[in-house]
Amino acid sequence: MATPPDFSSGAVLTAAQMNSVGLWLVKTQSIGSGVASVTVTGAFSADYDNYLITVSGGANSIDGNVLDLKFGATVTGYYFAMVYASWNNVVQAAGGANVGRIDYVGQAGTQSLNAFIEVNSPFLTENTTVRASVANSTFYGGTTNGLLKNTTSYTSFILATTAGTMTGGTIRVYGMRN
Amino acid sequence: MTPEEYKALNPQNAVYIQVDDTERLMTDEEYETWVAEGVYNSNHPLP
Repeated sequence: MATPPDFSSGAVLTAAQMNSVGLWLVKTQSIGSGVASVTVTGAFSADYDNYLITVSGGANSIDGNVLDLKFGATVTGYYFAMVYASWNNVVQAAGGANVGRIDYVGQAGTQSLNAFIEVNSPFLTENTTVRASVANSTFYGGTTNGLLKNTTSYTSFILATTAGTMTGGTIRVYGMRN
Repeated sequence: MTPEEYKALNPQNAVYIQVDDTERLMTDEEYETWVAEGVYNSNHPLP
Protein backbone atom coordinates (compact mmCIF):
# COMPACT_ATOMS: atom_id res chain seq x y z
CA MET A 1 0.00 0.00 0.00
CA ALA A 2 1.41 3.35 -1.01
CA THR A 3 1.56 6.04 1.64
CA PRO A 4 1.45 9.60 0.27
CA PRO A 5 3.59 11.52 -0.22
CA ASP A 6 6.21 8.74 -0.34
CA PHE A 7 5.76 6.14 -3.05
CA SER A 8 7.77 3.12 -4.06
CA SER A 9 8.19 1.62 -7.50
CA GLY A 10 5.17 -0.44 -8.48
CA ALA A 11 3.01 0.83 -5.64
CA VAL A 12 -0.73 0.80 -6.34
CA LEU A 13 -2.62 4.00 -5.57
CA THR A 14 -6.18 3.77 -4.36
CA ALA A 15 -8.97 5.98 -5.65
CA ALA A 16 -9.03 7.74 -2.30
CA GLN A 17 -5.34 8.53 -2.60
CA MET A 18 -5.66 9.77 -6.18
CA ASN A 19 -8.71 11.82 -5.22
CA SER A 20 -6.62 13.58 -2.61
CA VAL A 21 -4.15 14.90 -5.18
CA GLY A 22 -4.47 18.64 -4.72
CA LEU A 23 -3.10 20.05 -7.96
CA TRP A 24 -3.90 18.52 -11.32
CA LEU A 25 -2.35 19.56 -14.65
CA VAL A 26 -5.29 20.54 -16.86
CA LYS A 27 -3.53 21.88 -19.93
CA THR A 28 -0.07 22.66 -21.32
CA GLN A 29 0.23 25.26 -24.08
CA SER A 30 3.45 26.07 -25.91
CA ILE A 31 3.94 29.70 -26.94
CA GLY A 32 4.79 30.20 -30.61
CA SER A 33 7.18 32.66 -32.25
CA GLY A 34 6.52 36.41 -32.52
CA VAL A 35 3.28 36.13 -30.58
CA ALA A 36 1.50 39.19 -29.17
CA SER A 37 -1.14 37.21 -27.28
CA VAL A 38 -2.06 33.62 -26.54
CA THR A 39 -5.62 32.41 -26.04
CA VAL A 40 -5.85 29.20 -24.03
CA THR A 41 -9.17 27.42 -24.47
CA GLY A 42 -10.56 24.55 -22.44
CA ALA A 43 -8.76 25.80 -19.33
CA PHE A 44 -11.63 26.10 -16.85
CA SER A 45 -14.51 23.74 -16.20
CA ALA A 46 -16.88 22.47 -13.56
CA ASP A 47 -14.16 20.10 -12.37
CA TYR A 48 -12.40 22.82 -10.34
CA ASP A 49 -13.33 26.09 -8.66
CA ASN A 50 -9.76 27.41 -8.38
CA TYR A 51 -6.76 27.32 -10.69
CA LEU A 52 -3.07 28.05 -10.97
CA ILE A 53 -1.63 29.38 -14.24
CA THR A 54 2.15 29.35 -14.71
CA VAL A 55 4.36 30.69 -17.49
CA SER A 56 8.03 29.75 -17.81
CA GLY A 57 10.71 29.66 -20.48
CA GLY A 58 10.70 31.79 -23.60
CA ALA A 59 11.40 35.51 -23.89
CA ASN A 60 9.89 38.83 -24.89
CA SER A 61 11.33 40.87 -27.75
CA ILE A 62 11.46 44.07 -25.64
CA ASP A 63 12.85 44.01 -22.11
CA GLY A 64 11.10 45.22 -18.96
CA ASN A 65 7.52 44.44 -19.96
CA VAL A 66 4.74 42.59 -18.18
CA LEU A 67 1.98 40.12 -18.97
CA ASP A 68 -1.69 41.01 -18.81
CA LEU A 69 -4.73 38.77 -18.51
CA LYS A 70 -8.26 38.65 -19.89
CA PHE A 71 -10.98 36.01 -19.57
CA GLY A 72 -13.00 34.77 -22.54
CA ALA A 73 -13.95 37.68 -24.81
CA THR A 74 -14.60 40.12 -21.96
CA VAL A 75 -12.95 43.54 -22.43
CA THR A 76 -14.51 45.53 -19.59
CA GLY A 77 -15.12 45.25 -15.86
CA TYR A 78 -11.60 44.46 -14.75
CA TYR A 79 -10.16 45.97 -11.58
CA PHE A 80 -6.59 45.57 -10.41
CA ALA A 81 -4.05 47.00 -8.02
CA MET A 82 -0.34 46.31 -7.87
CA VAL A 83 1.81 47.39 -4.98
CA TYR A 84 5.41 47.43 -6.01
CA ALA A 85 8.82 48.54 -4.89
CA SER A 86 11.71 49.46 -7.06
CA TRP A 87 14.78 47.45 -6.26
CA ASN A 88 15.89 50.29 -4.02
CA ASN A 89 12.79 49.80 -1.80
CA VAL A 90 10.70 52.80 -2.84
CA VAL A 91 7.12 51.54 -2.38
CA GLN A 92 4.52 52.69 -4.92
CA ALA A 93 1.34 51.40 -6.54
CA ALA A 94 -0.40 51.13 -9.90
CA GLY A 95 -3.90 50.05 -10.79
CA GLY A 96 -7.04 50.37 -12.86
CA ALA A 97 -10.81 50.40 -12.26
CA ASN A 98 -13.32 49.03 -14.78
CA VAL A 99 -10.61 48.64 -17.41
CA GLY A 100 -10.11 46.17 -20.25
CA ARG A 101 -7.71 43.70 -18.63
CA ILE A 102 -5.73 42.85 -15.52
CA ASP A 103 -2.19 44.14 -15.90
CA TYR A 104 0.94 43.02 -14.07
CA VAL A 105 0.23 39.30 -13.81
CA GLY A 106 3.71 38.26 -14.93
CA GLN A 107 7.08 39.29 -16.20
CA ALA A 108 8.03 39.60 -19.90
CA GLY A 109 11.71 40.28 -20.37
CA THR A 110 14.29 39.47 -23.00
CA GLN A 111 15.69 36.67 -20.86
CA SER A 112 12.49 35.05 -19.61
CA LEU A 113 8.72 34.96 -19.36
CA ASN A 114 7.50 34.28 -15.83
CA ALA A 115 4.10 34.10 -14.22
CA PHE A 116 2.48 32.37 -11.25
CA ILE A 117 -1.20 33.34 -11.25
CA GLU A 118 -3.87 32.16 -8.83
CA VAL A 119 -7.40 32.32 -10.25
CA ASN A 120 -10.54 31.92 -8.17
CA SER A 121 -13.92 30.95 -9.64
CA PRO A 122 -13.47 31.61 -13.37
CA PHE A 123 -16.01 28.94 -14.28
CA LEU A 124 -18.48 29.70 -11.51
CA THR A 125 -21.19 32.28 -12.15
CA GLU A 126 -19.69 34.77 -9.73
CA ASN A 127 -16.86 37.31 -9.68
CA THR A 128 -13.45 36.01 -10.76
CA THR A 129 -10.44 37.07 -8.72
CA VAL A 130 -6.72 36.87 -9.39
CA ARG A 131 -3.50 37.10 -7.40
CA ALA A 132 -0.14 37.33 -9.13
CA SER A 133 3.26 38.92 -8.93
CA VAL A 134 5.81 40.59 -11.16
CA ALA A 135 9.56 40.42 -10.77
CA ASN A 136 10.24 42.96 -13.48
CA SER A 137 13.44 42.56 -15.47
CA THR A 138 14.36 46.23 -15.27
CA PHE A 139 13.57 47.87 -11.96
CA TYR A 140 10.81 46.61 -9.66
CA GLY A 141 8.95 43.78 -7.97
CA GLY A 142 5.22 43.85 -7.23
CA THR A 143 2.16 41.92 -6.10
CA THR A 144 -1.12 42.19 -8.00
CA ASN A 145 -4.73 41.64 -6.96
CA GLY A 146 -7.30 41.54 -9.72
CA LEU A 147 -11.08 41.31 -9.97
CA LEU A 148 -13.38 40.68 -12.90
CA LYS A 149 -16.67 42.11 -11.72
CA ASN A 150 -19.30 40.05 -13.49
CA THR A 151 -20.94 36.64 -13.11
CA THR A 152 -19.96 35.17 -16.48
CA SER A 153 -18.69 31.60 -16.58
CA TYR A 154 -15.37 31.31 -18.44
CA THR A 155 -13.57 28.39 -20.05
CA SER A 156 -10.68 30.32 -21.63
CA PHE A 157 -8.22 33.13 -20.97
CA ILE A 158 -5.84 35.37 -22.92
CA LEU A 159 -2.30 36.20 -21.86
CA ALA A 160 -0.57 39.06 -23.69
CA THR A 161 2.60 41.09 -23.40
CA THR A 162 2.29 44.85 -22.97
CA ALA A 163 4.85 45.61 -25.70
CA GLY A 164 6.77 43.55 -28.23
CA THR A 165 6.16 39.87 -28.85
CA MET A 166 6.74 36.58 -27.05
CA THR A 167 8.68 33.65 -28.43
CA GLY A 168 8.85 30.25 -26.79
CA GLY A 169 7.95 29.25 -23.29
CA THR A 170 5.11 27.23 -21.85
CA ILE A 171 1.78 28.08 -20.25
CA ARG A 172 0.52 25.49 -17.80
CA VAL A 173 -2.93 25.42 -16.20
CA TYR A 174 -3.51 23.45 -13.00
CA GLY A 175 -6.82 22.79 -11.30
CA MET A 176 -6.94 22.81 -7.51
CA ARG A 177 -9.09 19.99 -6.17
CA ASN A 178 -12.35 21.17 -4.65
CA MET B 1 9.59 55.38 -29.13
CA THR B 2 7.52 56.46 -32.12
CA PRO B 3 4.94 54.29 -33.92
CA GLU B 4 7.30 54.13 -36.88
CA GLU B 5 10.13 52.87 -34.71
CA TYR B 6 7.81 50.33 -33.05
CA LYS B 7 6.59 49.09 -36.43
CA ALA B 8 10.16 48.75 -37.64
CA LEU B 9 10.92 46.54 -34.64
CA ASN B 10 7.65 44.63 -35.00
CA PRO B 11 6.58 44.49 -38.66
CA GLN B 12 2.99 43.43 -39.30
CA ASN B 13 4.07 40.29 -41.14
CA ALA B 14 5.92 39.06 -38.06
CA VAL B 15 3.39 39.61 -35.26
CA TYR B 16 0.95 36.82 -34.52
CA ILE B 17 -2.17 36.19 -32.48
CA GLN B 18 -2.17 32.67 -31.10
CA VAL B 19 -5.23 30.59 -30.16
CA ASP B 20 -4.15 27.27 -28.70
CA ASP B 21 -1.77 25.84 -31.35
CA THR B 22 -3.03 28.05 -34.20
CA GLU B 23 -1.35 31.35 -35.12
CA ARG B 24 -2.52 34.07 -37.48
CA LEU B 25 -1.30 37.50 -38.52
CA MET B 26 -3.15 40.59 -37.30
CA THR B 27 -5.61 42.49 -39.42
CA ASP B 28 -4.67 46.07 -40.26
CA GLU B 29 -7.01 47.39 -37.56
CA GLU B 30 -5.72 44.95 -34.94
CA TYR B 31 -2.14 45.83 -35.81
CA GLU B 32 -2.67 49.60 -35.54
CA THR B 33 -4.40 49.18 -32.17
CA TRP B 34 -1.63 46.88 -30.97
CA VAL B 35 1.07 49.34 -32.11
CA ALA B 36 -0.64 52.23 -30.33
CA GLU B 37 -0.86 50.25 -27.07
CA GLY B 38 2.74 49.06 -27.33
CA VAL B 39 4.05 52.55 -28.02
CA TYR B 40 2.06 53.97 -25.12
CA ASN B 41 3.27 51.27 -22.74
CA SER B 42 6.86 51.68 -23.90
CA ASN B 43 6.71 55.44 -23.38
CA HIS B 44 4.97 55.27 -19.97
CA PRO B 45 6.96 53.00 -17.68
CA LEU B 46 6.07 52.87 -14.01
CA PRO B 47 7.57 55.74 -12.00
